[in-house]
Amino acid sequence: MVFNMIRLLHVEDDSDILEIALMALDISGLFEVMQCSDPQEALLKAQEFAPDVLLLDFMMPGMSGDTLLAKLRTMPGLETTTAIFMTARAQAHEIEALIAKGAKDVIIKPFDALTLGDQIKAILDRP
Amino acid sequence: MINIFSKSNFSAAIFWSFIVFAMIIVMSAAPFFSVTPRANFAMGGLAAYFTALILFSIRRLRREHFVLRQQQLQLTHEALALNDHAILSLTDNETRICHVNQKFLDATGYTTEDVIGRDPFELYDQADESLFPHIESMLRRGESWNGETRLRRKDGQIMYSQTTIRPRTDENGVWLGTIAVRTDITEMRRAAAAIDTVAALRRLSEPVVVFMPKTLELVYMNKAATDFVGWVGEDYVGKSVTDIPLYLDLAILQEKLRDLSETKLDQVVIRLERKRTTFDASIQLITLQSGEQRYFAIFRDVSGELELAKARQEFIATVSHELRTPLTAIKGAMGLLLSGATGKLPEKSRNFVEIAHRNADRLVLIVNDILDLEKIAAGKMEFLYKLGDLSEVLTEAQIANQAYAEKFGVSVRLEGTETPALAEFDASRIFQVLTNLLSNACKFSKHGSEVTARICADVDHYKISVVDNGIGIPATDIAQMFERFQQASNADRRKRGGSGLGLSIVKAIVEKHGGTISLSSVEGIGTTVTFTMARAVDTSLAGSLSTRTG
Repeated sequence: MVFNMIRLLHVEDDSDILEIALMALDISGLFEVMQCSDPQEALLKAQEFAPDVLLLDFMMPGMSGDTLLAKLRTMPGLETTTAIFMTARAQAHEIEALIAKGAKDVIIKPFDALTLGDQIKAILDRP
Repeated sequence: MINIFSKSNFSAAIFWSFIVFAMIIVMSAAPFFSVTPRANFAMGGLAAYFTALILFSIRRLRREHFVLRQQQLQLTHEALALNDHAILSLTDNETRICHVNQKFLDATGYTTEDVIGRDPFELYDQADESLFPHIESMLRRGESWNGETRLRRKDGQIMYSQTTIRPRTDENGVWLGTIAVRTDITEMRRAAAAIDTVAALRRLSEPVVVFMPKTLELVYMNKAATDFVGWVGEDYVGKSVTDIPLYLDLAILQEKLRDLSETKLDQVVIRLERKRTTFDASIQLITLQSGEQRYFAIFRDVSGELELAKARQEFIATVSHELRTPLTAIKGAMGLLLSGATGKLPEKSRNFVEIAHRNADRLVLIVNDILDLEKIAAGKMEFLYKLGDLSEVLTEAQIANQAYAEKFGVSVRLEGTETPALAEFDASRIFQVLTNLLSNACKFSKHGSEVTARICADVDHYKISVVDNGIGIPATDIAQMFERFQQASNADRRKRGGSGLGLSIVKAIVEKHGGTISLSSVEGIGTTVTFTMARAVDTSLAGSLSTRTG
């Protein structure tokens, strides 16, 4: 059986979290990951990488996650790509607002590194 | 010219006629007594003298009688006027009321039988008790006492009176009692209070607007209110509340006023924006003494409060974000280390990483709990009340807690969940309450022991209890257990973590549902936490929703 890795674009300004997330996703063995520490960098690389899922930090200097998502959505091939926000702002109304901005779900920081991959897969599998 | 018919001249004429007549009688009678003419004359003179003396006395007596009658008449008129005007009461020499006038009875509502024989001080309001010794000592010294007093009417209302109390003594100075004369000044005081109120309203820095029900016609605006809307003096006369240039939506206003008159609400609040300032208009429907009703609206600038609340919320959210981001890295790194993803850790290192990981978890809990408490305090925690089954939620909480219980070698037994326990509640919040109580119970239980969670139905509410056989809480700590950041002082409990905020959140959630929560514990034996939830009154409401922000 041929197993296709899920192509995941992770944008996060905190280099420590980038590193931990990379290892966490690596453990799950489900993802092919591209990471960007700067939203501008993500805008340059996203189309070429053609991700199946966008994992975007919400609060980033220079450009917020929702603005980045709006810009990515204008790119051919990324109009409907599943987007997941990652945020430390965990209040219910904040989560609702993020979902309203076009994300399929929101992962709250701090996330569980050991189950991060499974958590993303479950969101993707959900109708 | 002398008027001989005037009363005094007429009396004088009669007087002198009597003298002459008396002399003539005596002198005419002299021959019968065979006396000398000189003696005869002397007798006549003597008779005239005595006659004159008698007549003088009669005249003086008549005059005095006349004066006395005049004075008596005057006194009678004065007494009648006093009786009509003032409230009178007399006490006897044992200081018991022995007489009251009709005015007294009318003013106080008592009957004569109610008051005769009573100590007058019994009729005073308690607030006047301090006056009694002073009044008594002045009266005993023979002096009058003047001042303001408060009498309790028969209906319990206070009657303010301007009072004069005088001692009553006989001509020898023997004490007979007292006489008290009062003027009812209750209305006067009310009127003065009303004037003071209007004056105070006028000086009040917050705008006050009074308007009529139905017509919404403006009755009064204080200076702050006219300044607020850019009017001068009594510009408001003849205008309606909707003429106030506040862009007040008439439909909203009428809906709020309807709420006020048709429900038992004390007040309604309408929020208004004006020149980048936010105002809350608190409106109350007041029934005046006359029975008429008026709307009183007080405008309050809440811009500062709103900004402060926003800043506080922003601060909390930012702090929470700033804490969570590094916690993500710490917790993630520890988790990965412990998972063996980076290779097998030496046993000693593993122990320390576990300690760090456990404390990172604790820090996350604290941040979450602080946010929850802030939401509750700011009234921002939303509650979605829905008719549901508490038994079902308790079962779910037990399942969710199973892995945690196993970690401590504890089993959780449910009681009373076989029958539905219908109540109106926010399922996610009650789930939060139950998981908190169950995890606490497991955390502090002895290995291999059992935790019992039970639901008991009472007349109008359910009692939900979580009982453990754990280490218990020292008696001195029990009272503070629902306070923020409180944990029992047993060292063992401290070691087992927790934010110290869980129970205060649990209490706040239960109270928002109208329930109560209590905790009993014996150190070394175990702890029982019980909370109540009102039973659903009408189960036909199933599925109905109501959302409140707590």
